[in-house]
Amino acid sequence: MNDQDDDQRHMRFDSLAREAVPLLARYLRRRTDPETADDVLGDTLVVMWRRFDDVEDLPQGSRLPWCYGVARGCLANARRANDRRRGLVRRLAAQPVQRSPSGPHNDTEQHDDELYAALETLSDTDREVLRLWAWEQLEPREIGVALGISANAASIRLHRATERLRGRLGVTRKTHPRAGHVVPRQESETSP
Amino acid sequence: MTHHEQHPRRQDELRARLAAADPARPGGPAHVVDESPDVVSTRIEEAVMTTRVTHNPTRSSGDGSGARPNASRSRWLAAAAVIVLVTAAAAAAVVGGVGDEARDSRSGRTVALTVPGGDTMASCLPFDVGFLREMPLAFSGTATAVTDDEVALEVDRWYKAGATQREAASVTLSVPGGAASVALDGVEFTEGERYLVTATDGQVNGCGFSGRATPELTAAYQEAFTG
Repeated sequence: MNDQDDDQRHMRFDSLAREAVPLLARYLRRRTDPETADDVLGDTLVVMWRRFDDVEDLPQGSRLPWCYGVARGCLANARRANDRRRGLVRRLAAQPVQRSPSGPHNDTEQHDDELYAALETLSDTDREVLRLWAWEQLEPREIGVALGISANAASIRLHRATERLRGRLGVTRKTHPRAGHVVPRQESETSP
Repeated sequence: MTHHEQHPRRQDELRARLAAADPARPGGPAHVVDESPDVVSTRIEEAVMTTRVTHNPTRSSGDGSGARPNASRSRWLAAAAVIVLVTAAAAAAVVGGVGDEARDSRSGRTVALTVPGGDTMASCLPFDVGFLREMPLAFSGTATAVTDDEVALEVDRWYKAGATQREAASVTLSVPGGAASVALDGVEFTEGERYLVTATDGQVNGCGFSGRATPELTAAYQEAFTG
C-alpha cells in the first residue's frame, strides 16, 4: 500500500471516527464513570482503526452499530481488569447496589425510580439490549450488529427483554413503592 | 412480522419511558458535552499512531517496530499495541520454552493457552485467510466458565491441532494480570457463547484471527482450514 492509499484510508477513518466519537462517548458514559469512559473510548478507537478494513466491508448502516459492539467489548474487558485490580468482584457481588454519589444517577431531579429498580432485576444481556434500543436508539438489526448476533435473534431478545421489563415493572410497583436507591448494576460497577 | 412489531404502541411507550431515563439526556447526570473538533482530531490521531498497521507483514515482523505508543495515554493504549502474531521472545517466556503450539495438560486433556497481556508491544497484521491458514492451532468452542483470569472453552471442533491436542475436549485461556482489553480486539468472553480461536506458540491470536463465531469468521475458518 503506498502513501497515497494510506492517506486516503486515514481520511476515511477520520470521517467515521468523527461521527462515532460523540456517540461512543455517550454510550460509555451511560455505563461507567468518566475516567473509565475516557480510557475505553481510546481503546475503542484503536480497535476501530486496526479493524478498519473490516468496517469498510460492512454496509453503511452497520458501521456505527459495529463501533458500539467494539466499545461494548472494550468496556467489558476494562471492567474485568478494573475489578481484578481492585479485588472488588466478590464484595460487589455480595452487596446490594447502592446509588453512588459520583455515578451517572446522582441527580436529584426526575429519575424514574421504578424503572431503574425494574432494570436492576434483569440480566446484563436484557439490560444491554434495552439500553441499545432506547438510549442508543438502535433498531433490532443494528442491535444484532452491535452484539454480534443475527437481526432475528436480536429481535427476539429485544421482545423478551421488553416483556420481562414490563413484568418487573408490574411487580416493582407493588413491592418497591420507593425503590429509589437502586440503579442498574452495571452502571455503578465501575463508579469510583 | 417480527416479535418486536407485535405491539408497536406498547413498545413505543416503553421505549420513550426508557429514553426519558437516559442518564446522558441533555441535563442528565451523564450528559456528555461534545468535544471540540481539535480534541477529537487528537484522539483519532492517537489511535492511528498507536497502532500503525503493518501493511507488508512478514513472518518475523512482529517486533514492535510499527507501534508508536503515546506515553501520555493510559496503560490501555499500551495494551492496544499488543501483538499477537509471532512475538517469539514473549511467547517463549510465556510457555516456558515448550516447543509445541500449546502446553498440553496430560492429566486433564485440556490444552492451556495464554491471552497476550498488555506488555507486549507491536502492531497488528492485517487479517488474511492465507495467514489464518498457517496458524498451528485452530478450534471452535463454547465458553463454559469465565472468571477474572481464566476462560474455559469446551471444544466442538479442532480445525488444526497436533494429535495429542485433538484428544483434548477443553481449552483454558489464561489472561495474565495485564490488560487484555484490546489485545483481542474487544472480544468479550461470555459463558454460553461460541468462539473461534487460533494460537501460535501458546498465545491466542487477536487482530481478528480469533473472536466470536460470527458467520463471517466461521466462513474464513472454513476457507482457511477445510478449503
